[in-house]
Parts: sequence; C-alpha cells; structure tokens
Amino acid sequence: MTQSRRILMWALLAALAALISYFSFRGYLGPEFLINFANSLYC
Amino acid sequence: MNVANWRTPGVVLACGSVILMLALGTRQSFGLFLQPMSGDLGWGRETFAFALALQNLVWGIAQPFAGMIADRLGAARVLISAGLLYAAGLALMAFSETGLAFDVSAGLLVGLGLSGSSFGVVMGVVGRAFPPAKRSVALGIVGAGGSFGQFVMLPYGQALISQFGWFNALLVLALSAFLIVPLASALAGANTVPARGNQSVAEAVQEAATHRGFWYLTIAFLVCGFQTIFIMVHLPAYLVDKGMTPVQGMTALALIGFFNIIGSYLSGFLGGHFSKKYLLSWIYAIRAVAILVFISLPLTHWSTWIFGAIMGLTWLGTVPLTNGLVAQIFGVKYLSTLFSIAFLGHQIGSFIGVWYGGYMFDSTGSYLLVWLVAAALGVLAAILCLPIDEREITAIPMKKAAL
Repeated sequence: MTQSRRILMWALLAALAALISYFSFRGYLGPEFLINFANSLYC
Repeated sequence: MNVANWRTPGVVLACGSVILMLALGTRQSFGLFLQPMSGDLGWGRETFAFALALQNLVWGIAQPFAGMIADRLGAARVLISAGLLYAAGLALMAFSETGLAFDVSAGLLVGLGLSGSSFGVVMGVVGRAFPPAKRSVALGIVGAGGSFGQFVMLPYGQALISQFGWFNALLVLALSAFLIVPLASALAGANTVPARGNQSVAEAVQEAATHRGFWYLTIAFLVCGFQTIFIMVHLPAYLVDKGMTPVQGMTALALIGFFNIIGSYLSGFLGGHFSKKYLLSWIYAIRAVAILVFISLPLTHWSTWIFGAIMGLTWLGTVPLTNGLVAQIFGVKYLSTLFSIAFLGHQIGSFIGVWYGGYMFDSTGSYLLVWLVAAALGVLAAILCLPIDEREITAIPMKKAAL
C-alpha cells in the first residue's frame, strides 16, 4: 500500500470513528437512555 | 511472524480490534437489560445482579485456561468456541425465564465466551504478530478497539431495546457476537514462537510466579479493576446523591468512555517510546491525585467533566502497558497465559470494587471512604510499579540448564 493510500485510509477510518463517536455521545444523552438510567437510581 | 498469506499483521490487528470491540462492547450493554427484564419476568434485582457477578467471576477464572489453550493449540480454536458460547449465551438470555437459566446463560456461557474472546487471547496473537519495536503501539490500537466498542455499544444496545424490545435486542446482540467466529480465522495459526530453552507452559507460569515484578503487576492490575468498576458503577449514583442530574451523570460516563479510546491508544504509543513501568506508575498516580482532587473540590459540571476526561485517559491504558510489560519480560510464547493470570487479579479487584462500594454506601450512607481507599490503592499501585525489573529474562530455565 502506498503512503498516500495509507494516509487516506487512516483519514477515512478516523472520520468514521468520529462520526460514530458523535452519535454515540448523543445516544448517552438521549431521553430513553436517561430514563433507563434514572430508573435504575430511583426505583 | 506466525501469520501467512493474507493474515498480515495489519489484518490481525484490524480483526483483533473488531473482536475486542464486539466482545467487550456487548457486555457493556448488559446493565440496560436490568430494568426491562426484571420488570417483565418478575425478578428481583439480585437475580440479575448475581448472574452478572457470576459472569465476571467465570470470566476471570476461565481466562488463564483460555490463554493456556490459545498458547498451546492456537487462538482461533479458542476464539471460535468463545464466539459460539457468547452468542449462545446471549440467545439463551432472551429465553431465560428462571434465575437459574439466567445464571447459566448470562453468567456461565457469556462468562466463558468473554474469557476466550477478550484481552488475553486477542492481545497474545497481536503481540506475537508484531516485532518488539511496534508491539506496544499495536497493543494500544487493539486496546483502543475494545474501548471504542465499550463506548459505542452502550447507546447501540439502548437503541436496540427501544426499537425492538429487550427480547429481540438480545437476539440481535447474539448475532453481533457470532461475528467473532468468522473474524477468528484472521487470528488462526500455530504459536510457532520458540520457547526459551524449550520451556513448557507450566514452567513459564512457575517462572512468572517467582518473579517479583509479575506479582507487582498483578497487584497493580487488581487496583485498576477496583478503581474502574467502582467508578463505572457508583459514580452516577454518587453524582445524583450530590445533587447533580442524571444528564450530568451520563455525561461523565460518556466522557470516560470517549477519552478511554484516546487513552488506550496513547498508552500503547507511549509504551513504545518510554519505560512501560514508569508509564504505569504515572497512570496510577494520576488516578490517585484525580480522585483526591475530585472529592476535595466543590462538585461542579466542570469538575465532573474534567474528572471524567482524566479517568477516561487512564482507564484501560493499563491494559496495553501491562500486556506489553509481560511480553517484554517473559517473551511472547506464553503471553496469553501469563497476561490472563494477571487479568485474574484485575477481575478480583473488580469484584471487590463493585461490592465494597455498595457495602460501604449501605453501611455509612457515603462513598467517601471508598474514594479514599481507591486513592490510597492508586498510590500503592504507583509505588509497586517502580521496582519492577523490566529487563527481558534471557536465562535458560534451571531444569534445561542442568541437562
């Protein structure tokens, strides 16, 4: 694999990871997750 | 190198990372099933909690044996068996109607699946696939893969439960875990690394048992397990008790998960350039200081976020460094076995951490003493790492030398 292809591959992987991380982070703060979490503390 | 044709180190690394992502990430989402399953099946919480405690125990106890089999017969067989057990355990969790059935599925089967598909087995293959100069970075990347799985699979599990209900969500997770089976083919191949002086696995374990550094590493790893599980399980409750909202509690956990990905990679990267024992010592010292500062200062959003970020950076950073140090001192021939024994220490620490946190809160109505114990143990672990002799053992085992 050439150097430029390797850099492109890592850049794409990093972008994908960043995108998934962003949506995951939003998932942590989503209403259903929070209700589940709050129930586990109060019920 | 013990991989051939398409099983290049890069392929081993990529597939190993995805396996760890699936194995560790799936397990991370189990807590989300407590509420809906207990409610629908009329279980008390202890039924669910006992099965998960059993799972951790089985994972810890079975892992050295899984590592030993992987070192002797090859990792693929262990990974395939583990993937099947993991998937079967998840599927049977969905059909469990009694506490005993849940203990067998979620506790025994998933625990066995985890023991054969997590750190010890995967990192052993990755460690052997890379030369010493690149090994630490590779272990950091594969560790970051596991951390990434832990971070993303929690909201993924919640989305599955919300969309399809807990029963179908478990079946989808079983399918996800089954992916470990085809991925295992990338990690196939016999362990062809020559043993020093034809050392057997039993002799390698015996040698490690007489090496002070191995004990220090294992005790420090026990501290790691204690601190991380206590914080993961009890931090949100601690924050809510102190008047913060569940959003803030979850933000702290999300920050830990996110920064854990960066920390795992960074520790592997740094381990390739600096002394691993000093890096480990720094990690434990930073944790101790972070805990003391966190409980001493008034609790604010910022103090919680900064604490979450610091803990995340040091969270599983201990894994590639501990694994790398075991490889550096004892060689990679029996890496899975020896690291898995150290990991048993980690699991014992986890068991104590989650139990002790709850016990002390119930007894005193406060987590303060547990925080102080966690900080004190961090100092102890930081000190224990310092005298570890990092030099590779080159001496031929006594029995062989005498021949």
